[in-house]
Amino acid sequence: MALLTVKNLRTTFRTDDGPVCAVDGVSLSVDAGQVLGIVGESGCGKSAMSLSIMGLLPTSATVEGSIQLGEHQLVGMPNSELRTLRGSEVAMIFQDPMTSLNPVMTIGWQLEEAVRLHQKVSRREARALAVAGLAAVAIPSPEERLKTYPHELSGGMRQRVMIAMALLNRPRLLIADEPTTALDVTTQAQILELMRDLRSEVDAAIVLITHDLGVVAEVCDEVAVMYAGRIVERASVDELFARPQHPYTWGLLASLPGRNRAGERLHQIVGSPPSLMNPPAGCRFAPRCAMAMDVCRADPAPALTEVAASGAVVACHLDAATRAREGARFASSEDSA
Amino acid sequence: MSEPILTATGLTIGFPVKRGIIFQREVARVQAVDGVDLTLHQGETLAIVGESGCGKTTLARGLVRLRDIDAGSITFMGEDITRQRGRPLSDFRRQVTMIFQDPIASLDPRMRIGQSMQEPLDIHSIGMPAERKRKVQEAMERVGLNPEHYNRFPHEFSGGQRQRIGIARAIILEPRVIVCDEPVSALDVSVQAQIVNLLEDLQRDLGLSYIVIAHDLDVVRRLADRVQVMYLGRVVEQGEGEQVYNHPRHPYSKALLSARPIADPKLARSRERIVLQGDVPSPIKPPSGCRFHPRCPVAQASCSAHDPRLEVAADGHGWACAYPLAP
Repeated sequence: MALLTVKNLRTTFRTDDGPVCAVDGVSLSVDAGQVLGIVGESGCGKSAMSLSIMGLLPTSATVEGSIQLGEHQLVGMPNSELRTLRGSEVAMIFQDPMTSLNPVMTIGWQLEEAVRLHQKVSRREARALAVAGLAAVAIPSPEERLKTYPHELSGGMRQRVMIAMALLNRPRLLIADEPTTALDVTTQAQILELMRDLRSEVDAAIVLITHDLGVVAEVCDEVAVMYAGRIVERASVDELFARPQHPYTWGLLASLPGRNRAGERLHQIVGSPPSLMNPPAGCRFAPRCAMAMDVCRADPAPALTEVAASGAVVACHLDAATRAREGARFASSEDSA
Repeated sequence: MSEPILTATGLTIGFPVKRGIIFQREVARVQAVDGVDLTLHQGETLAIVGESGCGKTTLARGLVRLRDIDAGSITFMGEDITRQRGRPLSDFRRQVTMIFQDPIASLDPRMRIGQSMQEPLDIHSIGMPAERKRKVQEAMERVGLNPEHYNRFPHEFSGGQRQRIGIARAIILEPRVIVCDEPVSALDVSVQAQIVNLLEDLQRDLGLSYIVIAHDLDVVRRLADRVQVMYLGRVVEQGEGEQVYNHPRHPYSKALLSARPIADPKLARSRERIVLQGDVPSPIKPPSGCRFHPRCPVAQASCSAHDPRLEVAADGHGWACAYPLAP
């Protein structure tokens, strides 16, 4: 039984120019101890989806469908109940730790607050938990760190504090939205290593939202590729890189500069993602797809269907043989060799 | 190799550290760039890589004289421009332009993009006004923008298109050198590829030389002919892309290269990885001896006392390390 099951999630924002459907019928599930990566470019709806799960969207948004977390149904749950779940059952790490920490409170105050909001413990016990939390994310001399303010810490340290805070109440689900994007490569490597270690320790389900396929390959078990509010492909991480199925995934893989030889032009996906205000009919990637056929440009859009013998699902009208042949050109070097 | 077009020798750029609220006094000076040498040849791309705080952006700004130079010199086409002012400085800035990281912040939101791109022509009084508009539209076409969008505002464009506007503005003066500060790091992967291709096309067609400042090592590998790795204001390793990427000699370069995520799950699991501990130390009080020694995985006792100099071999590969890694 999966810990988190999202079914047919639709998130719509009311705007002055009409409704914008940022997440359009997304279904996915994550088991405890598993890391699900959600990859996509800006505006593909990945953050709107994570905020829908957290119930953190502004009132201009409506969420339909089902989000089942353990025994709780999160869609339609009153705010007061959601508030007790947030921070205890579900926790979130944001991209920019500086804007998510309170600049005028010490790290210790913020960590203790997070503990005392959800657990009936004395101040002293809360403090001990905060120290243990900082130690768990490998922050040196944690007791002294409690007295510091966010601005006194480096970006990597702040992100560690955020992770420590998210894990304080032993959440069952951790959503990390671009947790390393604001960090340097060496710091990113430290944080990714920390996440790999924590994953085995805390036994939580992790949803990792990122635009970086490198980060996905490093920490995820499962990957869902999102484009214009929909999932176009979902597979295990090995499967996705060994046998990518969707033309959009091919484009993403091929445009990675590290995979191209110098002198060869970088593969580019022509055009830019469609406006979600007025999305194209049929497959939303069709206008940018080199292999689009007439059927792709007409409704209904291709449904997610299982790829034989791999457990992966893909939403594409191309036949299996074509996908296998074309996909092989974009597979990881090792497998295609 | 062709003639050097832009050289810097012993370039040092500092910032004052101030104390006090009303009576501010300078208590120290941070050397953000500390004695950097670089040479850019005609038609080549030189990349400067390093983590935040290593001084790469200050170096870029120093090179186009947007920052005062404390010591050292910059020579452009045989002429020392370190302390030039007035006309010669303006001439220099016409030939050495810059592309910034954040295309939104570098465009005036209330100015039509055509005007934004035309501004350099107005400043340098190039051509008649009617001619200027034509020139701007030519540049727009060249970077893949629709010239009919001349009268639009920056917010009507996507991130990739805005970066194209920034590039059009940089090439409109027909410069010889463009200093690109993180040209693609704010963009999505698929758009990144478009901009990288565009930069390569422009270099080939217009004979440009680039200095690319970046922290993304894969983008640099792609664009650069030569690479300089910076750490705390100094160059710790330099050489051709091939040399630095495939045979790094400085432990910092090796750690930096091994830290980048690899988009291949099997390779990612099997490769040897050096995860550096701790953070970059404060440049206000840099460590004694070799500045990298507190984080260096192969540091010896003598590294805290002896400050290694950058030694460049005949093949152009150089490193500043007393105990370099095996090639």
